[in-house]
Amino acid sequence: MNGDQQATLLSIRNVTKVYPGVKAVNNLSLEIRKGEIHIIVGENGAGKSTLVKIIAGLIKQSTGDLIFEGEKYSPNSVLDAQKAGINMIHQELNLMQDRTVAQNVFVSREPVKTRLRVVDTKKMNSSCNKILADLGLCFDASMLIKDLSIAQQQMVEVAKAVSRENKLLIMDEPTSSLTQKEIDHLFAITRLLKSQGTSIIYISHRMQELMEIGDRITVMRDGALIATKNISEISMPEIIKMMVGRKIENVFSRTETTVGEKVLSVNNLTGLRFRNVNICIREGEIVGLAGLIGAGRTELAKAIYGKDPIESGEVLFYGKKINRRNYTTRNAVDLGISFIPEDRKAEGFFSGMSIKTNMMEASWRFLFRRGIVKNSVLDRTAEEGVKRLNVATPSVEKNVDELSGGNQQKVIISKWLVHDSKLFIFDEPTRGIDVGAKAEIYSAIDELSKKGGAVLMISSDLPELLGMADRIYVMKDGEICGEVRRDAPDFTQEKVLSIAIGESQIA
Amino acid sequence: MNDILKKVPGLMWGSLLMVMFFVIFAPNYTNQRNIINILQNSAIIIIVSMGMGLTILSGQIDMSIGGVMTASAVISAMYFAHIQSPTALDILVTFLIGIGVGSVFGFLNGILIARYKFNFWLVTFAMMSISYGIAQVVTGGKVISGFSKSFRNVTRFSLAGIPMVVYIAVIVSLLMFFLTYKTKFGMHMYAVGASEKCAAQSGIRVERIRFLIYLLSGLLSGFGGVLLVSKTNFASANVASGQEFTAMANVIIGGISFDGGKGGLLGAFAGSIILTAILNGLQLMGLSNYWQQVFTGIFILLIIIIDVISQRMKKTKNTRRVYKHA
Repeated sequence: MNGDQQATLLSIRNVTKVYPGVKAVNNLSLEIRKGEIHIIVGENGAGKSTLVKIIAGLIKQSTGDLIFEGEKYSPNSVLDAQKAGINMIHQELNLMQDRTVAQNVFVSREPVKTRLRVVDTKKMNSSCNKILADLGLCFDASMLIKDLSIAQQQMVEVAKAVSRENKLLIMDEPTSSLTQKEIDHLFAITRLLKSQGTSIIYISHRMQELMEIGDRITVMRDGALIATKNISEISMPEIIKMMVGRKIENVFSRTETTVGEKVLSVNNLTGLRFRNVNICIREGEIVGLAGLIGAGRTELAKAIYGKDPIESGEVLFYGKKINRRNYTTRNAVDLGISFIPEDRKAEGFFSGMSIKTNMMEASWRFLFRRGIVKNSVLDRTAEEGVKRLNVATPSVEKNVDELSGGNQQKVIISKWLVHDSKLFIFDEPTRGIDVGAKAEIYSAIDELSKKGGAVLMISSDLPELLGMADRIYVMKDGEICGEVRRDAPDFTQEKVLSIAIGESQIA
Repeated sequence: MNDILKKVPGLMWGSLLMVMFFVIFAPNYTNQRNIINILQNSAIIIIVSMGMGLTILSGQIDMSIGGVMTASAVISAMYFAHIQSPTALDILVTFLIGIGVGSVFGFLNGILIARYKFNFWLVTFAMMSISYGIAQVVTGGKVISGFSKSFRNVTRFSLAGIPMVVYIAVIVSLLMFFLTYKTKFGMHMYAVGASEKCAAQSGIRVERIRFLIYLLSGLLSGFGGVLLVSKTNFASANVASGQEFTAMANVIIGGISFDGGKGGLLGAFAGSIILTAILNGLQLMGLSNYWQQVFTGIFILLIIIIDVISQRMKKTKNTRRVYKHA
């Protein structure tokens, strides 16, 4: 409200962060003013988190400079950032479950009373209780973290950051697990900090929040800055338009297929992070599952695959109900449900083993019923698998680690083809894969559906979903909030994103 | 104090029941001499279990404890055996040599694990082999025995009917309790054990904490080694073999979790006495040494099973909680 408002606290100059194969942040320049609440929005993978992690000292930029309070700022650790007065509230909880609230809030800055560095627990608890009271929280500093609810734990994270000296406070989706009352608290605190001259960078997907609290807003897309505007000068549809303006590469090869029998139908399914889900997938159909991170997409897929527990509801496979008691991954695999995970290296294949072994992995029991392995059968099946999806390799004996990401993905898909799966669940099938290989994976997925396979595809890449899927279910906060069909006029990125964000009325 | 009592795990009440069993059925179990015997027998293992407890609390483990004890025992014993008429100063030097040997191993463990980020299992296993090996080389397979009375009295001298080694163990334990429950170092050690990532993000110098933990563990093992020479009046290449497993058992019985950051050294202290008391009871009931080992194993298995079951029950409860907030 005075001249100080316009002064720059942090300026980010031409910052680029390169990861193998992708520029997470691409030549980005941005100024954060003193005492402003600066919102950053963007789709999943737009580079928001990478950017703030650079500011908070968690990772180092590849090129570019940060200028903080007029001086060059290049933190080597979180500690350096904290010393400069920059703190961050992380999206995921990062607390010591078996320690008290006070011990967590004051970790690494415990007040000591003698030269022996004895921790003054009394002082620590009382100053922690003061912070908690300021935040309007009604739990005690001496309680153990594991006895608090998730929302309360989130507020401990807030307390932890607020208790430090802050010139710049970064909040990465702090409200994802808070109730409305707690969000109000948090906003009150945020405004208080702002009035004390603290600048705040606020990342969120919840549009109402942004309008309520922000001063300026920056939209990011594919690691680059699209625009920075005053909140008062921009409307929500405009923001969404800027978020989704991602270039659509013409690599999709969706062909018309004839839709057959119902393969999977899920009725009122409730589980770990999702509620009352109703979906169905038919033979020859590609169904997309869109939503923001944390919407419960992967959890739903894992429940269908028998990996995560189901609380209530039923799953029908070819019209037959899967008995909840023997709903295990093994049963799901036997029925013909396959899951192609997001994290290929950790969950998708056996690193260090040959293509052949990896391809057989799901089918041992079926190929060799008497338990004796025949090399000729192995070789023949593996060769067929490699040919079917056109895996670029001189031999099936080759180590999968030596293949490119795209070819690894193809090996995983052929593993399930060998096994004769009926339903294929893809979790982010093209993450970290270059464009050329992407096209091949798309045509492989298309091939699956042409042969009558049913495909459920989770993706954060909207052009990819729109290019491949016949229908898209959109999830938000654990519920299916909408469905868009290819034949509908509003089969657009704007429509999907606005449902995912919860602003369906504006699109 | 209340805070510390809370850290006494449920497991230990079961163990106390075992002890009650012996109180009733084992002959002479509550005899004053037997109780002193139990305390005396648990004293040295208490000291090294403190080191083991530290490393496990920090989420890792030090497998070299028994080897380091042995190396420290034989090297200090060799030194002392060379002295014709030892003075108090010689005894002090002998102890410092033992502690020094332990610290060197602890230092190496710490540097390799904390600084160079080598796997703690491999490093401490290698160090275990090296230290047992050194003990073999130094002694040439011989037993060194027959030390002066003054040296033996460091542990054996009886004050108010209780041998010195018990006092030493209590003092070391109190120091360790103070260090872990009261000081900044202790808080940081818990933080590192509970979540290394969280600790690092909070600005704790994780490397330094880990280094100090291994250094301390080595130092305590070295100290335990010399005390063992004084108490048993001999040193050989297998004087402390297998002590790393006994220490591990004590720590587990005391409720320190392998997850790191859960439990406390008070548990290691109590666990040491309980296991010694149980073994002593079995002995009094006429069970052979071999059976005692079997029994220790079964006892640990039981504890692990109880622990796992209670964890699972907690987990299902938490799952529901997550769902309610989804």
